[in-house]
Amino acid sequence: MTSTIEKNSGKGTSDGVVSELAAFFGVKPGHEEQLRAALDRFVEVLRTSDPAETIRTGLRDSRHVIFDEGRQLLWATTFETEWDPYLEDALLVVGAPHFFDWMQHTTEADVIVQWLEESGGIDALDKDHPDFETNARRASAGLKKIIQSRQTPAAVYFNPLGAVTMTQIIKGQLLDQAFQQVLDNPAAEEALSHPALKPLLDLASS
Amino acid sequence: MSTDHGSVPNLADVQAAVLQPRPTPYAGTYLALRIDDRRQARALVQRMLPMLDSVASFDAERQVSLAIGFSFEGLRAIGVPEDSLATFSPEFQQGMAARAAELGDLGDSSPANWEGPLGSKDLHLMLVGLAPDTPRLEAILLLARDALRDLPGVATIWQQEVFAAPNEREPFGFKDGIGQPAIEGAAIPCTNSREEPLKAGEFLLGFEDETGSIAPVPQPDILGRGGTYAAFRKLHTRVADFRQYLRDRAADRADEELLAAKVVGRWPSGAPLALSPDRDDPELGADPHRNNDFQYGDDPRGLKCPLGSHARRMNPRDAIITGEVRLHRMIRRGTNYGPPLPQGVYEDDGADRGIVFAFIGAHLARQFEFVQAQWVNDGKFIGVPAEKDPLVGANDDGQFTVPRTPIRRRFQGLPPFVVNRGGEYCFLPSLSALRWIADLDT
Repeated sequence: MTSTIEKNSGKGTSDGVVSELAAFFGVKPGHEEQLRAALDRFVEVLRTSDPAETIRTGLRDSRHVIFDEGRQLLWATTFETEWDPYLEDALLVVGAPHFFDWMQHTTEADVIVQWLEESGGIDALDKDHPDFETNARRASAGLKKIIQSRQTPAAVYFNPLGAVTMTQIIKGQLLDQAFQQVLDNPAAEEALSHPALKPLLDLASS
Repeated sequence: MSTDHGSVPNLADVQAAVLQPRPTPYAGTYLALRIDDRRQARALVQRMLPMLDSVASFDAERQVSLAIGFSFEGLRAIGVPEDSLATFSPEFQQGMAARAAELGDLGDSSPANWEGPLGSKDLHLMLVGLAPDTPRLEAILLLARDALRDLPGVATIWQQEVFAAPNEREPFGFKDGIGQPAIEGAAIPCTNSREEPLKAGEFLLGFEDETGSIAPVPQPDILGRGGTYAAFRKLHTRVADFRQYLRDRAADRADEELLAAKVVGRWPSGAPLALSPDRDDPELGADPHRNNDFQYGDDPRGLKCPLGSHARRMNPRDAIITGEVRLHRMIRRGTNYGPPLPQGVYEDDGADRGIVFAFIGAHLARQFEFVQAQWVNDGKFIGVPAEKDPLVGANDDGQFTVPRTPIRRRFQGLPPFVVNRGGEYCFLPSLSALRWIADLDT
């Protein structure tokens, strides 16, 4: 089940398979330090996620920038796939409490609290809740709406790796690691001399 | 803040050692002094001023030079006002030891293991004397020591004898000091016809640099303009380890020599791999009109000269790398200390031998520190983040790739072949600035 929202999912700008999202929030007065701590926890969840789960979310990168002397926050992220599955799956993988953790320190806190209440409370969106997945999918439309209300599309966006997906990048990396292992073997030259392997031999000199 | 007074430096006001190439061969001495009495230190500067040549007055026949540099603590000790000290670059103010993390001076190279008094706040003034031979060096040092007479408030705390052999070989056995940059308005011969001379502001404070602007000049203007920064480092070389590493991985003696050349980027004679990829060419190595006259653009994969070799890292020329090469060019002076390890010897004899390396440039951060951090101790700029400079990098079980057809060679387990025994950042004032310092009344 994919939730739908009224606003166009293509609000961000794309380059190849990668789309960008930039959302600006006000920081609640006096909450800058708490916000920084919450952001540290949020990014740690992303950093320690299973790579396969990160691929599921389509996440390419994510950064939060506190600026205007602690008064404003930019969340800038890029991702593969479309907006709807991206955020929905991010909610499932990351868990709503981690979004709430930092968003409660923004000027959108009241809206966030209202969204949580309408979604059955924070416990209902915790990954340990037995109906977590159903609850999260149901709640994702509300979160999308909040984020999109703060989103500003990039005027332009360029990504030199926009043509390839994370899966392709990781596969390329694994292939290169394997290829380097082959090249380290003294028998590699003879093995790669077969005509069928010429494309590989052409890449073997550096 | 400085204002522009023209883009052409006054070579009659720049210390000769800043821009003049060193003689071949030569003998030299580094003397580090501590200032206990600022008035006596000013008297010393006053006495030494007549001994100092400018770039313009340097006698190319005599080839004798003396240079004076101050550490940040030295400028403070001689009485340069605090509001003036605050206008020097942050890296210079901190000193080399405080920049150890940025420079990769860790482990054996960390300041905790440096040779005293290098890295301490006692090193205030550095005198460097150079001459084509020992008698002429002794003569100029005699003058310097005479200038120190009856000045007990200025103490000699460290001395290092250095030399350049007639064949200009550094301790690893390779000709050194070939690839120096050409500088606009400096009247120093250009050795690479394919490299446009660099703006004077890359090497002298107060002039337009490669960014098209003038970097902040230490104030007052007379103190900063025409001066420059220097970084010197006493680098111990583990020559026996270097030879053993290559011997253990080479197929035969010829392969050993080839591998050594691939590590360095040049053959022992100085002939560049870019021009002579398969064998040494002593005639080419000895020809100053040809041994630096090349680019890497025709060798993008490094089949002639590896992307990660020492010489190519130090000056990637026109190779495609991350970053702009011309913003990171440096004047580099390397000079030997200690007895050479005889050719063919693979066991360490316990002698301390190495290079006293000197950087000269107007931008400590984007020249010396950038090169040390990015080009020496990293490989991202050439697309190999796992590799460091195989010769001088802070390797610990390092890796080095030698491109080759049909299949590249890759070497693992690289140890550090160079250990930093200590160093310091110095400011080399113009002659006008030295007069200003000598006349201070603080």
